Amino acid sequence: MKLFIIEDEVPIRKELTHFFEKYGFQCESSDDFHDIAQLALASGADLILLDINLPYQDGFQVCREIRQSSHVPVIVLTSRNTDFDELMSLNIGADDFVSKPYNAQVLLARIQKLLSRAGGAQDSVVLTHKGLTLNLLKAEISHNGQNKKLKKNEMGILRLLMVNKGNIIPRDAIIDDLWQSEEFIDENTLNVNIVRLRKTLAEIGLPDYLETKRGLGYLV
Amino acid sequence: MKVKDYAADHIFSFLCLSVSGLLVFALLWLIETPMVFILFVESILFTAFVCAFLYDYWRRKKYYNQLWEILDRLEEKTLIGEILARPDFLDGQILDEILRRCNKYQNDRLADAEQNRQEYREYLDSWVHEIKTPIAAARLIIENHKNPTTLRIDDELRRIDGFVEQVLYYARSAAVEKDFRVEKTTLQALVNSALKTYSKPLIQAGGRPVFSGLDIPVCADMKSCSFIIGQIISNSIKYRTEGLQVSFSADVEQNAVRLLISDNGIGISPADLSRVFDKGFTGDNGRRYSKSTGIGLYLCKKLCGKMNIGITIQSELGQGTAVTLSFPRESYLQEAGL
Repeated sequence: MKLFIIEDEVPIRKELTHFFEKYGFQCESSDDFHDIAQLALASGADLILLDINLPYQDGFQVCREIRQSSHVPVIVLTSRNTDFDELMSLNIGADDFVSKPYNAQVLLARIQKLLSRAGGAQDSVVLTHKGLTLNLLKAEISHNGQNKKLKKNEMGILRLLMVNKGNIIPRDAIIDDLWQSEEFIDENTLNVNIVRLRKTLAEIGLPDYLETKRGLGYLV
Repeated sequence: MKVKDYAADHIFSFLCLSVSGLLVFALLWLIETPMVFILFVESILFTAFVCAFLYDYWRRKKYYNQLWEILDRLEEKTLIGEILARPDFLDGQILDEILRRCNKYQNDRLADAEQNRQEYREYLDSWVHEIKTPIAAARLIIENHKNPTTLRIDDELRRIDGFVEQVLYYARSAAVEKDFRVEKTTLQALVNSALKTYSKPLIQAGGRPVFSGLDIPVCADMKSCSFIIGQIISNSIKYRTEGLQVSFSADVEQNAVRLLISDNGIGISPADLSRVFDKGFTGDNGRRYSKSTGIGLYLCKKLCGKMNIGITIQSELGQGTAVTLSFPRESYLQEAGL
């Protein structure tokens, strides 16, 4: 799956690319905003992320140009979170609208939803670390040919830890990550989920996969 | 304008008339003019004076009564100089000229102030949107490099974003135009969106949201409403006791859907309770916790007022605080033809 990012702010472009590459997307972008719509179309991207404030022409213009020759899904990303911009974006053919500062996970979820509707869903989004493979679409972990299904919260926890492999993730950040997907769990529920996740990991032969750093958080 | 008042104002003229009448009388009497003749002369003098007096009175009365009437009817009082007919007597003309110049000056100043305010608001709006880009970039960097340190920076970035939002809504609450977009949603969706924004401080305070029966459809502006609920949640976090719990429950009435947000915090003293929606009011709690700006609830009240949402607060010291938001019901709006 290929994303084309039309964004003139270099740090945002860089971080978005970095973020989506973790989830198995190919990202392309360009610094040449003269003819950015044609560049985006020529790249053969499956989805285009589009900022509104651009040099030479605004994002609305770019979106119109894209729509003249293609039905590729377009998500508008902007800091101008006025209702006018949102309506305008949707009216000229954008498929979704996300205002800054957006939650990257939410953005990812929306991209995946749009892609699956467009019929070109990723057949597998897979994270791999230290011999463990997590399939995000099937909610399945595998190690040495053994597979196990995970519950939603357990997968959320493992996904967060695997995306940030090698880094300690504090407990409050894990709870927060689950809250962002509207699972308003508390400390006790997190404990239960961690115990269950450990058990599942042990069952496929990885008993010490999830490390506890006392007073700091968890780490894979 | 009454004749009596006008006459009292012209007491000097009457005095002069009396003196001159007496002098004429004395003079004519000295040269032995017949009494009938003297009285005739006196009456001519008197009639001439009264005619002049009444004519002047009539002209002024006509003009000033009209002035009063227009002033009463006029909404923009400073425009009176523009629409007034010019009077046909000298002092009125002078006054009219002064009024016109004063009004013009006032109107120019008002227009200047209004334009400054407008430009300031536009600048603020664009500034808010500018600042969101670096905040978004910084948060994305952290998203890609999560560790205990960067996550603490992320907490601070969220606080910055919260303050920036407050600026945006402050500007919005002062604006004359109502830029709200009402859409169909549910109470749960509004509450969830606010909880996501304030997730970190709530989790760190060991807080737990409790929901009951929030799957009720309402028509509301998502962003503004979740901002309001967020402000209320942030107060619950600020003024908490051990084992913070924030409960959200709903209640459907004939014309309104009520969202009740209650906490088990320190509560508000009865003396302060009636003033919590006042701008800049911090009260006992604000002083003790020194984090209060007195803006949050004020903004809630103003935004609610603009969106026709009722907001009330109940509290008992040491027991907790409950804020009720009443959204107009859809059927009620339809009946009203909205």
